[in-house]
Amino acid sequence: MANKHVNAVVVGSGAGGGVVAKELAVGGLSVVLFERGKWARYDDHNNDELTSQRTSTLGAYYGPDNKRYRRVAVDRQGNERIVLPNEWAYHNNAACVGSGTVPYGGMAWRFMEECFKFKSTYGHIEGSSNADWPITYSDLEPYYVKAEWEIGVAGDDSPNPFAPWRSKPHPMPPFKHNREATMLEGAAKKAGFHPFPIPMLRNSISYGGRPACIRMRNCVGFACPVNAKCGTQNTVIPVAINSGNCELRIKCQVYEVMTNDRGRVTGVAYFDQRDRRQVQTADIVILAASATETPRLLLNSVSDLFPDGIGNRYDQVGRNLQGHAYCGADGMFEEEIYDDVGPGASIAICDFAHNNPGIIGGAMLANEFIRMPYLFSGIRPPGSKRWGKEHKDFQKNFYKHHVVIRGPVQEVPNPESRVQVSREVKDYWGIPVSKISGWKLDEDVQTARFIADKAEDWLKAAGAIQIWKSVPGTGVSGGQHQSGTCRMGDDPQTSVTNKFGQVHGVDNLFVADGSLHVTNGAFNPVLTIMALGYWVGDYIVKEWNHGNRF
Amino acid sequence: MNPKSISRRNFIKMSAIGAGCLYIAGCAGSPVSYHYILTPWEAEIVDALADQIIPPDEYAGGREAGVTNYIDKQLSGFFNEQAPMYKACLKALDETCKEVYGKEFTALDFDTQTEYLEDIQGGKYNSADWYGYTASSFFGTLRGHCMQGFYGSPRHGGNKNFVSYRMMKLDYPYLVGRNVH
Repeated sequence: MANKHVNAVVVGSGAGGGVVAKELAVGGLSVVLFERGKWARYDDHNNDELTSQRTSTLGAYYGPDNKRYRRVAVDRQGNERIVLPNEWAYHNNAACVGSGTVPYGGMAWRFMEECFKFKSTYGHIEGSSNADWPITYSDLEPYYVKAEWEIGVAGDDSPNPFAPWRSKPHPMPPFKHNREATMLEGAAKKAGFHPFPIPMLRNSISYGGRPACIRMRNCVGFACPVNAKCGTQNTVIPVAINSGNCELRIKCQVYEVMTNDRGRVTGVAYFDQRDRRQVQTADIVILAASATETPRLLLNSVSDLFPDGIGNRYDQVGRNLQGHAYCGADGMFEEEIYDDVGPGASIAICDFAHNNPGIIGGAMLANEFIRMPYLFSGIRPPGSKRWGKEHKDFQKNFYKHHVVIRGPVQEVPNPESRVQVSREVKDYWGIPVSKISGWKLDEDVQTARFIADKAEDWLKAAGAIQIWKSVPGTGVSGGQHQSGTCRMGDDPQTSVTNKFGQVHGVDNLFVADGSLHVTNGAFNPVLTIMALGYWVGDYIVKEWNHGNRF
Repeated sequence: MNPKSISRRNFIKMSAIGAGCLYIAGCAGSPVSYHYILTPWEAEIVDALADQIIPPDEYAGGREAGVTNYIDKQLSGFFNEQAPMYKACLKALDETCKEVYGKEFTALDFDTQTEYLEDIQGGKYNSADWYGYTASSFFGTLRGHCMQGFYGSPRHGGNKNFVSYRMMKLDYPYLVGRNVH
C-alpha cells in the first residue's frame, strides 16, 4: 500500500532534524520524520564502557551497527580502506532517535560573533575555502534562545566577558562545580583567565517535566537513566508527535531523494524495517542526516537533470568537511582531585576563542568529561610503559589525580576535505557508501599548538606536578562535530544552499544539520545545529503559511 | 592448591554450566576448558600473556580477572574475524619462543616472558614468519584486548568481581542514584 502523501519529509532525527520536524508539525504541516536507528534506552546497556559512544570497542550501542554500515577512508597518499562504524576513521554519529543528542556530553555553546565572520576576521588563507556565513550571530540569536528554552540549557555566562550578547538568560541555573572544577576555577583566575560554568543541555533543576541531573560519572557516551539530559528525543520530537501532525518512522534507511522531470523534489525512497523498498512522497524534503550522510544522500540521488547528484552542479556537495582540531594538556596532581561527581566537564574559559595575536581562530578551553577505566588505560605520560606492572600501578595510583583541559580549535575550511560516494563499496542495502578524504591545513595545527600552551598554563597555575600536551596531526577531521559539507551561502558556485538551508536551484529541498556550517566555531557545535533547525523550520513555516509551496 | 586456584576452578565450572556450546576436553580429572574458540593449550598461553599485560599484585592479574574469557568470548562474537590471527600467532609466539629460549612460552619465568614480549613489541621478530601476521601488531591487538577485558564491564566476560574498578577505588556495581556523594 502506498504511503499517504505528506507536506514534508525530514530525514534524520538528531539535533537539526528533530527541531525542524517539531517546527513544521506545530506550524501545521504534515510531517514524516525518518530515523534509521531505534529508540535508545539506558537499561539495554547501562554502564557498559565498551559499547558506549566514546569507546565503541565492541560496537556502538547507539548505532550505526557494524553489520550493515561501512565507509571508505582515504589517507593523504590516496590509499583507500573500508572502515566500520566503531572505528575512528568512520566518523560516526549515533543512529538512534535523537542521534548524538542522546549520548552526548551536552555542552550548549553559542558560537561567538567572530565565528560567523571567519573570513572577514582572519582574511583569505591559501588553500582554504574560508568564508563568512551568509547570516550573522544577530540573525541566529533568537533561535539560540528557542533552543535553550525549548530543549533546556543550564548556564550563566555573566562571568564570561567574551560571551556574545544574549536577549534572554539561560532557563536553568548553572551546575555547581565538582572538586576538580573548583580547583581549576581558582587556578584560572590566578592565571588571569575568566572562568565560568559550561552551559549544558542537562537539567540542573527539574525542567520540561524531567528531573534534575544526578551527577553520574557515566554521562557522556551514554543515555541518561533518569532523562535529565536534554536531547531532541525527549523534548521537541515528543512535541512533534503529540501535535498529531508528525509520524516518526524508525529503522528506515532513506537512500534517495526523488525528483521529477522538472527538477522538483517529489519525496524520498527508503528501505523500511523489513528492508522493503518504499516511497514517501512530500511537497518538501528536509535533509538532516549529518554532515557525512546528507551529502551522501544528495550525491546518490542521480538523474538526467542531476547527473552528479542533486545540488551538485558546481561540485560543492560534500566539500569543506570540518570537525575540530582538538588539543590540550593532561596534568597529574599530587593530591586526589577526583570526587566522582559527574559528568566532569564543568568549567571553561573563552579567553582564547578569538583575537589571539598572530593566530588564526582559537578555541574555548574546558576541563574534560570523566575518563572511564578502559579509556584511562590508554592515557599515560609520554615515555610510560603501556603494559605490565608500571602500567597497572599508574592506573591504580593515579586515576584520581589526573586532569585534562581540552579545546576544540576552529578549523579553516579546506575544500579538499570532503565526503564523496564510493564507486565500489556498498552498504547492506547496496547503496554506495560515503568516502571520506582530506586533511587539516597547517594553520589548524599552529592554532592547536597555541591553545595547548594555554591549557598547559592553566594546569601549571593549578599546581600540576607533571603536564603533557597534545596537538593533533593533519589527518582529516570530522567525528561527532562533523560539519560544513553543504555550506550555506549567497553564491551557488561556492555553496550548496542559500541562507535558509534551501538547496540552490531546487526550491523544495532543504538541509538542516551541521552540513550547513560555513565554519564550525571555536565550540562544540550542537546548540548551533539546533538553532539552525529552528531558523530553517521557522522560514519554511512562515513561507508555507503565506501560501509559498516552494 | 591455593585458595585462589580453587575459586578460579569454581568460576570455570559456573561459566561452563552457563555457556552451552563449549570446548570440553574430557571428563573429571582431565583439563576442562570453558572456551568457545581457544583450545586449552591456547588458553594457557593467553592466561600467561594476560598476566604479563596486567600482572597480579594485591589485586587480581589479567588471568584471574577473566581476561582470557573475555578474549575467547569476543573471538566467538564481535571479534570473530580475528580468531584465525589469534590461533596462528599464539602458535608462532610459542614456536619463536622455543627457537630463542629453548622452552615453551608458559615454561619461561615471568621476567623472561616480559623480556620476550618487549622484544616482540619492539619489532625484533617482525621479520619472522608468523603465518603471514606481524608479531608486533598481534601484540598490539592482544594488549588492547587485555585492557578491555580487565577494565571493561564484567558483562563481557572479564573484570571478574569488578576487580579493576575496586582497584581504582571506584564504587561498583554502579547503582543509579545510589553512588552520588
